[in-house]
Amino acid sequence: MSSDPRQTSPWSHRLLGAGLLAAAVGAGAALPPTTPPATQGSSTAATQDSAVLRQRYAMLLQKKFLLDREKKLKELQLALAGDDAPYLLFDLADAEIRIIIRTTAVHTIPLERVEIEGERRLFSAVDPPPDWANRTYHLTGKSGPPRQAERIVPGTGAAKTRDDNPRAVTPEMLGLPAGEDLPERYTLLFDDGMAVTLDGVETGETSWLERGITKITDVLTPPELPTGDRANSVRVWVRLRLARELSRSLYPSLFTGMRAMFRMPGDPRL
Amino acid sequence: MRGFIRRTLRTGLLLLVGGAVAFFAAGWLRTSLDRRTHPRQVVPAAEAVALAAAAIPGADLPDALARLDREVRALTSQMLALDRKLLRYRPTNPYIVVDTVANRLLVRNDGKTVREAICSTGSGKVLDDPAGGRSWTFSTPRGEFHVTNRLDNPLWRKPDWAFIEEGEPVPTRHDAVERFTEGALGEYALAFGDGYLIHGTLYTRLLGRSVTHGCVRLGPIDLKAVYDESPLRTDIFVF
Repeated sequence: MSSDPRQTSPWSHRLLGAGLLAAAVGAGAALPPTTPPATQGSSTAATQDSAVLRQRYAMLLQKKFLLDREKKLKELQLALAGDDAPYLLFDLADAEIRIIIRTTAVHTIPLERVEIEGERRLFSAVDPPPDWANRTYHLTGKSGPPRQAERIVPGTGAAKTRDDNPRAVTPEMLGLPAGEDLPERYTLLFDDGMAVTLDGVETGETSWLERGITKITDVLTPPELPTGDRANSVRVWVRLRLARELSRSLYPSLFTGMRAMFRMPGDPRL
Repeated sequence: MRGFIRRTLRTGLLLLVGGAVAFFAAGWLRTSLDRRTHPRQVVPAAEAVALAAAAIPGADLPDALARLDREVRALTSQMLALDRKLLRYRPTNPYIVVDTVANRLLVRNDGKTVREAICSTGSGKVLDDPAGGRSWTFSTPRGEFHVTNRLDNPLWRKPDWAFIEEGEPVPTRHDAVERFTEGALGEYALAFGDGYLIHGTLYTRLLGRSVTHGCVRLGPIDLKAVYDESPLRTDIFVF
């Protein structure tokens, strides 16, 4: 080391440089980062665009599902309309049964309750298969009293309807009910394991006890199937509750071979 | 002492078994009642659709969206084609609906009922010809028909079954005088094919009942109104 006071030592230079450097780094860290304006705006815009696109995608996807379903229903209806025989539309969305000829609804019956279950098991009930409403069915049988057509004895037929016969007395004049005794609770068996039970009940208010008993009875006593059919051959069971008189009045309109289709909740209208 | 133990064990066992049975029965009942599904929607809920949209990677989103858009357009176009085909089955205005169970005849215009009349329809009875192998079932046929002829003061030409039903000999000639009866069909008639008519009746007391040989009978006032409202080719739906 020199004794000359005008000379500084090399360590002091190094210390001074390190101190200046540290001061510069600290000052730089304290300053806010300077990013180019264009890069910052585009990432926010990209996020917003993506959200808009996803929203549009979701909207279109929902629309596609609805269109798919509407197309399916209209194809089924077109197939049924090709024949002029009446067919059934079980509208489970609006809770109605409609008898339709071609595309014209000729008769509509409101329902009070709609339930669907799949195949019955001993200690459980499974869900119905997902695609069961994607086809038409035809009626193979219905439960209820067997009907035999009445035969006219030649020579006696016209006399019963003669209005000019003073001794003719019709049941109507006597106030007797016309028509046969029709069932109010019956099951329609369609092909491919589809069954629909119509349960005609008294309409109006029912107590919780009555509702509970009815529900338990429903589970414990399976509806009667047309003769010769077993309950475990049913894959899908639709149970409909409606007014007693409506259930009875519908019965004669149902014939073997009658076709049917189903409209589910959420389905677009036909 | 031993008997008491035996009785206690037996009672305990019965209670155990009974309890187990009740437990399983309750479980089955609860499961059955729970699993009795009320109808589920076939179209997914909005939340499920939003999740599906969120699962698509951002880079793939524009392509996926374009693809979906094309599918929706194609479906819309297919729907229009289906609608055109279904439109061919649209009924005339007005049209007639015959309910053979309730014995009601309705005249509808644009789906709204403009007239409701009590009628009589086919009895469903069967007549067998004792002489030949012929048999007739007297039902009103179901389906779609059209007014093919409009008749004023129609004459009834009695078919063979009408003679057989009354136990009378069947005339050999189709144009035999005894086949023709005036007034039996009322003042008007609308023919809808295969010999079936909507016509009047002498048996007005029996309106509302299924008593005819297949034709549809109306009272005189309703008959006039329906006749006036139904030109040729009017649709008739019978169920």
